[in-house]
Amino acid sequence: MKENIKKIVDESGIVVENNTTHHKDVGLSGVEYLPLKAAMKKYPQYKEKLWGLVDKDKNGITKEVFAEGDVNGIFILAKKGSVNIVPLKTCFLINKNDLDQKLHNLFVVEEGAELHIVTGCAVESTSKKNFHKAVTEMYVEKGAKLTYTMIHDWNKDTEVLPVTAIKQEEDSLYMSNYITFEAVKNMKSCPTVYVGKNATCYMNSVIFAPKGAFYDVGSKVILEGDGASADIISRNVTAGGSIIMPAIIDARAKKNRGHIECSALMLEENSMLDASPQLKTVAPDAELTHEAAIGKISQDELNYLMSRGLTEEDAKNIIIRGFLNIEIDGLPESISQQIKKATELVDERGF
Amino acid sequence: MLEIKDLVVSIVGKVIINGISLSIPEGETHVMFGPNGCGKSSLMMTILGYPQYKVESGQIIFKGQDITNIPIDERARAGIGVMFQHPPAIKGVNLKSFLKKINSDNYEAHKNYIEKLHLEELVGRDINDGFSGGERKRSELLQLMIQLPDFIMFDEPESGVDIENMKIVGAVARSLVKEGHLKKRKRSSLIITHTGYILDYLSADKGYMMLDGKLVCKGNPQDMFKMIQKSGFKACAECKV
Repeated sequence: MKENIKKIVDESGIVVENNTTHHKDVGLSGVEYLPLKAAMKKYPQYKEKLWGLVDKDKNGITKEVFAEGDVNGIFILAKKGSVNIVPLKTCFLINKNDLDQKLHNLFVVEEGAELHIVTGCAVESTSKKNFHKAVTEMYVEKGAKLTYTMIHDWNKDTEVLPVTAIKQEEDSLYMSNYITFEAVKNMKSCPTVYVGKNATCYMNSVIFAPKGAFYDVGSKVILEGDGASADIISRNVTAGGSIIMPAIIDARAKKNRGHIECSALMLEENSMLDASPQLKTVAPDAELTHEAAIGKISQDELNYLMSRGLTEEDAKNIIIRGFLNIEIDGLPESISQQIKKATELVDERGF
Repeated sequence: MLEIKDLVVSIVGKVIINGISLSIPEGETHVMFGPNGCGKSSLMMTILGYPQYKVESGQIIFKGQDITNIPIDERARAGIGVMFQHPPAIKGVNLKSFLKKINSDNYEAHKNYIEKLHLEELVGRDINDGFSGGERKRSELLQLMIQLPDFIMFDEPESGVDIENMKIVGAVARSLVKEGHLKKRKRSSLIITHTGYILDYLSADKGYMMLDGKLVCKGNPQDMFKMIQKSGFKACAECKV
């Protein structure tokens, strides 16, 4: 197991290993986290939230997870008014072959609570022919704040097919940080976020696709409350892999604001990039903007760094790391450092 | 230190440097005058080794070594440096980390120049991103202070710089070229200038006039500059004053 993932497993409050869920107390106040099955026995009132945001007939994955019935997964509850700056670490781990991992996760951040979750999803590099199919539903209640940082470590023989939906109530904040620098056979993810009145949503993704990796990773944000806003930022680098980055902001209320930024660098031939930012609205006062840029490393920047004596390889590495280094405000320092560390290691992963 | 022999350079098939020869000995500062588009910056980029500038014929000899066909980074490590007129911004890479990457020992030895160049706040920002004209020039000089090249080219060091910044830029450029940090070293430099303000800080030993990719005159830089100020580039080139 790679060091960064082992660290997350060791420090995690809750870990799903193949089809078994382990959890231990890591000392967060006002936060409860349990295997889903145990949680639904303890808190039956939350049962109605399952399949409340995701339609069980949405696609083949949701149908499979629903058909499975009593599936594994994790339940996280941040109780009303609880504030934790120390993140809750979770991990979804596969370390065997031919696993068809089906999960259902439910996160509830109650009114005025603040919770930061860091998830490391990982597959042992020698594991083969695995599937990760997870339905995740998140409820961020009035005035609550949830940041969800995912640092993935899949392998080239794994298919990752999550279905995620998030409901934000009035004045809440939801931030997703999706970071992956590894090969994956097929990764398809497009969470849907419903953003309530004066609520704010940030969807950040940073992807490095080595040879053979296929990523179809985007976001769909529906601004359904007056004054709701969203920013989707996507930075991608491919070195022989494919990246599709759909991004949709659909403004349906008054005074909505949205911005999409998709940019990508292509380092090698036999790569594919597809950026498709989409803005939709029926509201005359919506402010929606997007920018998308796809290209190779700027020769001007490369020459400039080399003119100070850096080799071409060092200059390229610096530019790529800089490109992937997105400034994320509002995260606890420990998570920012973890993201930075993962980004600094990116050149060891195949370019 | 630098010798250019019969250099002919083209860019996308068009000749822009047409048979230039010059020699800049160790410890000397030369200055090149000429109107916009005459080929001054192209000559500099060719000396640096920018690949879009194609050497059709001739040679560039630096410290006795033919560098006509070696890549940019090798020329830089051999001791060639430049203060760019329009350096690009590089997002996500802060200036301080880049300075350490250029030369971590020199960074430690000369980090007092961060203060001298009033760059305390800017070293934590992305390279040249949102920098003003003066800030870019000061950032360029700081990088050169860390790189410590033997031969330094200044491309329009006064452009976009206000009077206050000019004093700082001039003083640091002077200490970089004229004093040197390793006393045994005698740096040479080549200045490209329109306004000539830099000559108040860096005295030049020889001047050149470039027109249409050719050196049309050489001589005392102060006299040449006075002539240009009085009667323009063309009159100076033709010595009609």
